[in-house]
Order: sequence, then structure tokens, then C-alpha cells
Amino acid sequence: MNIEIKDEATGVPFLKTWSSVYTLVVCVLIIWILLLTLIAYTFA
Amino acid sequence: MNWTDYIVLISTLLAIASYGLWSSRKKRNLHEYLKGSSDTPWITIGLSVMATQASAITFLSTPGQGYEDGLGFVQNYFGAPIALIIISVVFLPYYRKLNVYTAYEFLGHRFDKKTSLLGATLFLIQRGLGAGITIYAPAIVLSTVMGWNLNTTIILSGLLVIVYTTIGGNEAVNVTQKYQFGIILLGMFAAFIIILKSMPSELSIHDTFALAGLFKKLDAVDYSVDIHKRYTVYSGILGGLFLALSYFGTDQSQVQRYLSGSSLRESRLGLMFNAIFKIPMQVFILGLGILIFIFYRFEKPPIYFNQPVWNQALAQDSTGHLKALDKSFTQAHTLETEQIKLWLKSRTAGDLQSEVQAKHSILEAHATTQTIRKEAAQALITTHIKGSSNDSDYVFVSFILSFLPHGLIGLLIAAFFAAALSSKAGELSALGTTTLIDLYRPLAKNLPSDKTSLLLAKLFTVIWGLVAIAFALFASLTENLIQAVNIVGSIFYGVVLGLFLVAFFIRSIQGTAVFWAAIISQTIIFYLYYTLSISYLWYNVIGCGLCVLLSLVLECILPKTNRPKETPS
Repeated sequence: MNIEIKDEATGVPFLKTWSSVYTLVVCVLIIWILLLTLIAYTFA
Repeated sequence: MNWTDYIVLISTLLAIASYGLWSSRKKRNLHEYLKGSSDTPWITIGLSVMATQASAITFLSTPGQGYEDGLGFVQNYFGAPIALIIISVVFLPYYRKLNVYTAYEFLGHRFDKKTSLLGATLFLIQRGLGAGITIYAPAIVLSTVMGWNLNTTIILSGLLVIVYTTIGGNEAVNVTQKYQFGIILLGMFAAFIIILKSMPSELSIHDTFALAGLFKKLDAVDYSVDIHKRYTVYSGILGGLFLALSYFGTDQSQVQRYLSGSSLRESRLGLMFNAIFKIPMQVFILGLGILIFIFYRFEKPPIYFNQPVWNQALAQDSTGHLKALDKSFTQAHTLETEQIKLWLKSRTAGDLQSEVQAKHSILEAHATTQTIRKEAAQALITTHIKGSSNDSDYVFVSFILSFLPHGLIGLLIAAFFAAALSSKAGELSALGTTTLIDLYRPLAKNLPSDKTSLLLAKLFTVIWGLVAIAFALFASLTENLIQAVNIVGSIFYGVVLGLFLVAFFIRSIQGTAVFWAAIISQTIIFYLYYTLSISYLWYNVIGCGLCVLLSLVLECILPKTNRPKETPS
């Protein structure tokens, strides 16, 4: 098993090119959990 | 439904089916039948992945879940965005580089034939059982609209799915899913607006939230560490991560969707689209269920949402027990509505003491209506009329038929039915493909030609369709559909994920060790499922952990044979 994970088009390692997309996804997840927590506690 | 709805319903269904078949008219070789075309853009992949996962079950069953239990179910999806990132980084490049038809072919490349067979078999058992549950979705829509017996609609919609899948293949599923998905979402927005407009004028948005909170419908997060609770933040993030990782990463019905991307980038974008929109979509659908719940505090809901079954039972009710229950339910509901109106008045007047008192009275009155509903459901069991899974699956479809404007009813029912057929088709197509590629081909003495393989793929699809119909006819579900599918998945997914994680990350482990580790782990999971009462989400974590751990142990114990196969880079 020795597959380098690179972007097909640019040859740049995937993690480098896509790290901002991941960060965005994780931030959106955290915001949702916080928002739902806020709703739950406000109207408990 | 009136004639306008029937015209819209029939023409929409015909348009969807014709477009699907027209789009896939040239796809006749094995590769395109199995994978679809390889130039699917990311937005189609994204919507197709979402539509396969969301499917008609989500749209039918999730508003009902929100209606009964509120937002808590959304925690199930907290692990999904992280899982989709991991799949995007690790799983996808492997699948694409090896150019596999199915995820289990990859196990064959990495380990050996027996491990690939085991992975495929676990998928087939799990998905085969799941197919028996998902076939309820189109059957529920059909039985509610036409008032037919559920068994008849299971057979009818099952046969329709088989024809649709074998004629159109995977491509037809891909091209039509996004439109059905779009129509359903639009219909849900329309329902949302219509409910908001139908609410009493004195009920403000803030009052609506406060009322939903009073009924504990907004408890979206539960930070307790009780492993017996079905949905908590921890079971959602950890168990949900493993569930989503195995579902999106190793379940052929999903892998098949994103493998059809024109490039790695398109497939990844499709997955990231899901990572962003999965949770808001679920919040919206559960929220819609909560809004329907609030709406029904002012408008009398049916005592039993599955009206064809209720009416059939009423006709057979010689003792008058059901009629009496219906009458008590009406009285209890009227009392509950009055109490809510009193609460609203005291809120507007700023009378805190009366408000607190009214809150208690509302909850008491609601407990009475709930008790009567339960009694009615219990009384129905004794009539032996098959009422599918759970009454909450009928909440949304029953609401659509009663309160949406004509024309829109026909359009939504058509979209529901088509989406149910289409997600079922995607599932059957995946079962047929896996049976051919991972079971038949490795075991066949002579490799069949492409033409024979295509015929065999269709034959296996038909067989799985028939198995699903048979399962649905004889099974009796106690959970609602959305939960039943997740429970069945969780029993098998952990071990399958374990197989893939070992394949990806632990190079030293060989086929024999992981094969036996998976079999032992799956046996332990079966045992635990029948003996423990923990949240089903944890079985994903336990199954995966056991499989990885036992693989490591067995690799040390078992005699060394050849070095593990290197996969091409």
C-alpha cells in the first residue's frame, strides 16, 4: 500500500490544497453544535 | 387528492421515468451500467450522494421523528462531516487509482479473495435486510394515497423498482435523483410556509419556539455520558463518525455514486457538499416535523396518522372501542388547545404565575392525548391489520394530503414516490453489482463475457428485489423506518469499516488475520446486540475497534505466509 494522495490535476498533495475546505467543514460543524446547544438551553 | 393532483402525479411520474430512461438510453455496456458514465459533475455527485442517503425514507420518516421526539435525532449526524473528510482524503484516492467497480474489490487487491468475499457478504446481508425496510417507503406513499392494503403496495412498488432498475441501471438513478430531491425540498419549504401562515395570529415566532421547548422538542443536544441513551453528543460524534465512515466509505450504494465522478476533484467536491449541508438539512426536516407538531396543537390531528389502516380497523370495530377512543381523543385535544390559548394569553399579559400554571396544565392535557394515542395504537395491534412500521412514518404524508393546496399535493406525492423508487433502485443496483463483481466473478470457473455479465447483473438485481419484497411482507418493524435502517446498518458497519481501516492503515496485517478477526468481531457484535441495551451507534465503534484489535492479535499469533500484496500506485 503505497499510494501518494495527490491532486490529479495539479500534483499537489491533497491535504495542502484542500486544507481550507476541511477547516471550513469543521468550523461549520462546530457552529452547528454550538447553535443547537444554544437553542436547547434557551428554550429548555 | 382531486383530479388536478392525479394529473400532476401521473404526468410528473411519467416525465421522471422517461427522462431517466432517455438519459441512459445509450448506456448498454457493463462498465456504464454498473458505474454510470464517468463524467458526472460534482454537483450531481453531491446531490446524488445526499439523495441516496437522505432518500424518501428521510423525507417520510424524519418529520415524524421530529414530531414525536424533537431535534435530538440530529446528533446522529454530528460525526458525518468528519467522516466525509476522512473518506475524501483516504478512501477516495485508493478507489479511484485502483479503478474498482465496488469497494470490496479493493479488499481483494489489498488482502485476498476470501476477505473480499467476506466484505461483500457482510454488505449484502446488511443491505439486503435494509432493502426490505426501505421498500416500505414507496409502499407507504402508495397505500396512503390510494388507501390500498400495505402488502399490495409493497408488491406493486417492489416490482416497479425492479423494472426501473434493470432497464435504466445506475445512470438513470443518478440523473433523476437530483430532480426528485429538488422537488421534495421545494415541497418541504412550501409546507413550512403554509404551516407558518396557518398558525394562529396571536402565536409569534418566539412563542412557537417557547411552545416547542415546553414539549421538549428543541432538546437537540444531550451532553450526558449515559451509553444507554440512544442519541447523545458523544454517541453522535463518535458513533456517528464510525457509522458515516462505513456508510459513505464502504457501502457500495454510496461508493457507486461518487466513483462516477469525472475526476477526484469532482468526487471530493460532491462529498464536501454533503459534509456542509447534511446537518442543516436534517435540522430543517426535523424542524418541519416540530412545526407540524405545533400546528396540530391548534388543529386536531388524526388519532392515528395511518388513516387507511385506522379506517379499515374502524369498519371492523364491532365493540365500538375505537370510536370511543377517537371521541376521548377529540375531547382531550380540545382541552389541550384551550390550555395553550390560556398560556398564550397569560404570556401576552405578562402574568408569570398564570403562565407557569398554564404550562403544567398543557403538559397534563398533552399526556392524556398521548396516552389515548398509545391506546389506539395498541388496540390496532389486536386487529391484526398490517400497519407498516410505526405511525410516525405517516405524519408528513398525512399532513400533505390534508393541508397542502391541490396540484402541489400531486407534485409532492409524485416526487416522494419517484424518490422512493429511485433510492430503492440505487440500492438494488448496488446489491446486483456487488453480487456479480464480488461473489459471482471470483467464484465462477470461467469469467463471463461483458454481455453475460450485464445480464447477470440485472438478474441479481431482480433476485435482490424479490428478496426485499419477501422480507417486507413477512417482517414486522417496531422502530420507525429511519431508525430501523440505521440500527440494521450499525450492527454490520463497524466490522466492515474495521476491514477497510486495517487495509488502509496497517500494512503489516495479512488477509487471514483480518478475515478471522472480522468473523469473530461480527459474532461478538451479534451477541452484544441481543444482550446489551446500549445506543445502537456504539456498535459501529465497538465492531470497528474489535476488528482492528483482533487483526493485530491474530497477525502475531498466526504463522506468517507471504508478504501483503502491494497495491499499484
